[in-house]
Amino acid sequence: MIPRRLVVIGLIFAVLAAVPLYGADYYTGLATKIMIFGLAALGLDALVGIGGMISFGHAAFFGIGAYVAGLFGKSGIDEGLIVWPTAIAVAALFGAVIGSLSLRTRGAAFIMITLAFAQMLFFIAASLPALGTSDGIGLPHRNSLAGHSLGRAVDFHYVVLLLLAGALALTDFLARTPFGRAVDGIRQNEPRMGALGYNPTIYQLACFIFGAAVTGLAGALVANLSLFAAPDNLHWMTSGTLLVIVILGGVGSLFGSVLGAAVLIVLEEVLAEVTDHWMMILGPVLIAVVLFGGNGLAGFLLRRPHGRTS
Amino acid sequence: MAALLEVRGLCKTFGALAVNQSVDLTVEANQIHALIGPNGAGKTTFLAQLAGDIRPDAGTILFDGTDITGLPAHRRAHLGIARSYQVARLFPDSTVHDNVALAVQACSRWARSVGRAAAGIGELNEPVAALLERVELAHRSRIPAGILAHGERRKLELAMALASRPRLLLLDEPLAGMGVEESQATVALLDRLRRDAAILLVEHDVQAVFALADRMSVLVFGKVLASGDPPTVRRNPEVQRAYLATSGEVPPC
Repeated sequence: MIPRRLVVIGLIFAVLAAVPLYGADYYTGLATKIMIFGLAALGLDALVGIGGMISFGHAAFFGIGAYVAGLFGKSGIDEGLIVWPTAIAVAALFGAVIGSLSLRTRGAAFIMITLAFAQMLFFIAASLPALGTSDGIGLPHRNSLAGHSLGRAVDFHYVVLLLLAGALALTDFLARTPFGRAVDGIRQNEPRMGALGYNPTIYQLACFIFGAAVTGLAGALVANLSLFAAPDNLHWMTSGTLLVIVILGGVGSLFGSVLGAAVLIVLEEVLAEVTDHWMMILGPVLIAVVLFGGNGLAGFLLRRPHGRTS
Repeated sequence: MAALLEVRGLCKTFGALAVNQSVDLTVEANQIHALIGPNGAGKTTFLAQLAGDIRPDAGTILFDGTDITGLPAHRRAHLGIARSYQVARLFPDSTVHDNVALAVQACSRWARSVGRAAAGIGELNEPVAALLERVELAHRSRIPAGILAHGERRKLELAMALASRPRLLLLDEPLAGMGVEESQATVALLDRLRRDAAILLVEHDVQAVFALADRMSVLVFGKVLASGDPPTVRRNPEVQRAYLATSGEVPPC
């Protein structure tokens, strides 16, 4: 029998793949946005859910990815095969620096120091003329892929779909390797893992860099979607949004990030038409999911008739 | 011959409470050194300082001639110090097998384990099975560690401590919560372990201590009251007053 988790993941991707077949470009764009935020939150879930590191500054890497795409766009380079790997590499590099400094702390101090780094980057981006100050950097057009234009919303949608599926499969795979199990063990009981001979900081740093790289790719893609790299991508509210998506989807479930992004973005679209104060409705929904969903939407979907999730 | 472990003047205070006051202790290679003392004497705190979980306020710890006082826990583990905990600290949701696998894997280089495929975990099966066989837990390997009986958890702790092929084992009450038969089997196992490693044994079971120990030290209120071979320590009048008598055990003479 196919595990329930794989069935759920299969259904999610089937729905995402079907959207352009039945919907107008508007809906395709919405689904693409869901996948990009799902990808960004996936990088954060690797940190929070597997590594146990609650970062409140993960938008830093989202913004870095976006600005890499923006700067390439400004200088006339629009090949995705150049732009995207560069975005991943630069985000990973920043992840290595920010991670190695932040991981000198744990708990609340870790949350605050990651937030501080992200806000620092936000103010740099918002004030440096080379980065367009508060206007950000516009992209003249979308990146191409191996010379093929991704100007049509449908083409871009499927490329994002493949990248998301690949990132999810890779994260899932890494979580099952000895490396992933060690990171998971450190989250559960750090002193115990130290006594066994694991250097907790090295493992957590590797996990931090991985999460930064995944979110960096999402950043490059979001700049492609909106044709714009904005300081907002780096702002702490974006960090908060990513955390909300992870919690809504189910911490540590990985695929739940896509569900969380779907619910958040669809609710935002629908409710924003009804009222400007849509957050007043979103708040109670979020509380309900956290209180009654077990572990977010993923926990709800994977719940067995009697009790525990798998 | 230099001692495997040499502790000099180890001090640790928590607030106003002096938990260890200038503790000196040596453990020779391939010997079982028992550390006894009443509850609250500072035995567990002492072990935690040797393992690297707690930093001492003063004093030095030499392992095989190297000063390890400032080393983090994981470096000490790589040098050959392993530890079992008084309260079993397992990964309750993982199976018994996976708990031991995590311990075995700790000895391999981390960089190599990153690239190893999920299938590669299978490579650990053989050493894991051997360790579980050794502590007589092989029949429980597929169940979650969280539902093990108390005595079985201690055995699992022991298997995880042995995974790194340590030269020094720090065992905090390995017999606590075991039935008579389990306890005898574990005493026999510890006796055999002497060939591979030195053991610093904190244990309340006086019979087991006298059966196993090559040397023993008595810790009372954070100070070493007496140290030496078991018959000598047993005859020490101060020890009899401070510890052996109060615990209700009259030492067999």
